[in-house]
Amino acid sequence: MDNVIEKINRLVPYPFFDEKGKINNGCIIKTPIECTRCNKECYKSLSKSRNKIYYCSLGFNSYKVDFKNFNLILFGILIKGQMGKLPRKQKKNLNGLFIDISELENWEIRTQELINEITQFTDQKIQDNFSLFHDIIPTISLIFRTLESLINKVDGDTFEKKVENADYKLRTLYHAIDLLENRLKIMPLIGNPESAKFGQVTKCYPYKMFDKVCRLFTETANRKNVKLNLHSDDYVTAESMVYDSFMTLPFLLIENAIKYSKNNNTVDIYIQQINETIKITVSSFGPIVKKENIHKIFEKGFKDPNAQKFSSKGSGIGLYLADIVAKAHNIIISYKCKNEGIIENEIEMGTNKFSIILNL
Amino acid sequence: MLQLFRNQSINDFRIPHNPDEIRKRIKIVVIDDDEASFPTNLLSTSGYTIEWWDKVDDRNLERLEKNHFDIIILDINDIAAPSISSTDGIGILERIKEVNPAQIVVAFSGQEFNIDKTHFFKKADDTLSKPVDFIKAKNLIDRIIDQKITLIYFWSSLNGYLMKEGVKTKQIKRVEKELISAIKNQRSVDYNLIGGKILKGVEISSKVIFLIKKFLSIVGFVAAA
Repeated sequence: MDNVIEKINRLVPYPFFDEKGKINNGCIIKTPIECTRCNKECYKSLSKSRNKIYYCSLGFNSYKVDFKNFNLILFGILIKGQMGKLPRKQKKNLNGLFIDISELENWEIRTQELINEITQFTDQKIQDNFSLFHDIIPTISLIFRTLESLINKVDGDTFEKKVENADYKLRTLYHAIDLLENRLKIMPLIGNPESAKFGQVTKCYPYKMFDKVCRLFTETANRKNVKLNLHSDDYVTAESMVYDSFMTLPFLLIENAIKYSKNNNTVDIYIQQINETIKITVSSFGPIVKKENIHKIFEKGFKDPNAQKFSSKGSGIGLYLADIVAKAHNIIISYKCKNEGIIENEIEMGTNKFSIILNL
Repeated sequence: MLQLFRNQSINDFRIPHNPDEIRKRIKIVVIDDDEASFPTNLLSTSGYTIEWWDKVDDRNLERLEKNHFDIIILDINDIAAPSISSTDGIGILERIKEVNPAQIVVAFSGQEFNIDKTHFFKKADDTLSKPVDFIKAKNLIDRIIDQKITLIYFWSSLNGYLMKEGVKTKQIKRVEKELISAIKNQRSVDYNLIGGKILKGVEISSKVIFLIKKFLSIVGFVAAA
């Protein structure tokens, strides 16, 4: 939707305030030079007003547009029969800039139609892409069934023990498919963020969960010579109630930490019980987020310039998805970085820490 | 003192049960056009009574509607004959829930991304996304056994069903009382009392008796000799 809003903003015929009160130029077809442009103060009073059409002290009109998913306030308009008291001389000079209210109304209706069409088209495109991705599921299922029947022949009381006892190649293959399975679980969140709340909330043991994710990522981390260290006290049995989607949170945080960790370093995961909560921190050394960009790190597609220079891989979607899962659980992911004044290849490096607090 | 005079409810009782025994007793069906999508064979060799169907049609629908299975694991696409449901898995789920709201149905699909199918996942008792590995599938079934094959859950589902069917609160209370008495005194449930007196004239009385009998047999409730 953000993309649609950005495109529509380029087609607005007058200057306007967007939803955040930011002034945009629009494509300015008929704005009088005499309009000195509105400011933040104007926005405050205009956004409070219930009127669709309003006129300012200079005599110009503003017009509120209520699209289905966002609102705009157009200004610097001269609507026939609607403007305030303009000096007669000025009125004469502005002749030709007056418009009928019906012209604005028509523009509003047609733009809404256009938004609907773009949204529908985009949604369809997303669904088509997911359908393609969905087609690989039977293949992965088949690999799972084959691997499971092989592992089942290994000695062990439980299936988990059999996995542990399996030879290195078989175990690695099983973990690789498990990793793929967990990666696929992330995909629905992109198309349908509501899926983060599907299913029942069930008991989870954060330590076990992070331990499993660390094991899944061992091979990936080894390739960068990054060591995954899980630090915990003796309360590893503490449990919390979460949705099935919660697993994607450690997955995304650890994956992000490995991806943006400098080679030959460590990713440290700390699990601490503090009263009735568990605090989990994932710490790594790599490119830090510039101070002015910290508030953007959970935005879809955002990548800080330091991260961009460090690795061109990744679409800046991991933390956005992690945030969706966190919000589904009423959790806030906090980010802190320690700028250690180290600059390598024009990249500011330091310690990055992502923390979450889970209620027990 | 107050506790003595308080009416006892099912929530005050537990039937001791052995999850391993329940695992063997419960019947599970996986409905999916792709046999490899669920680790049916491995679960079966691990002691679960589980079968796989590729489709719901006129021949097997009755088994779903008549509570033959304790857990139904249901896919969303290509699993219903057109004569049964025009909306595929969603229609089957709605039909099962309409006939028996207490039936446990797990939405098993890789379609969570599809906003149009959101209500399929919300209407089901639980969800399992594809692809699924053995450990995850087993954990889900064990969790259902742990949380939903219990006296409290059974009674709350049956209570909801009776209310939905318009059975009077007084009659529901009497069914509950009979169940409590049987469990407390470890005696057989007096089904003649429930069917012949308490729920006399109630259309679903035989189904209620069937559901109680089935539940008690799953949890292994045995009356003292």
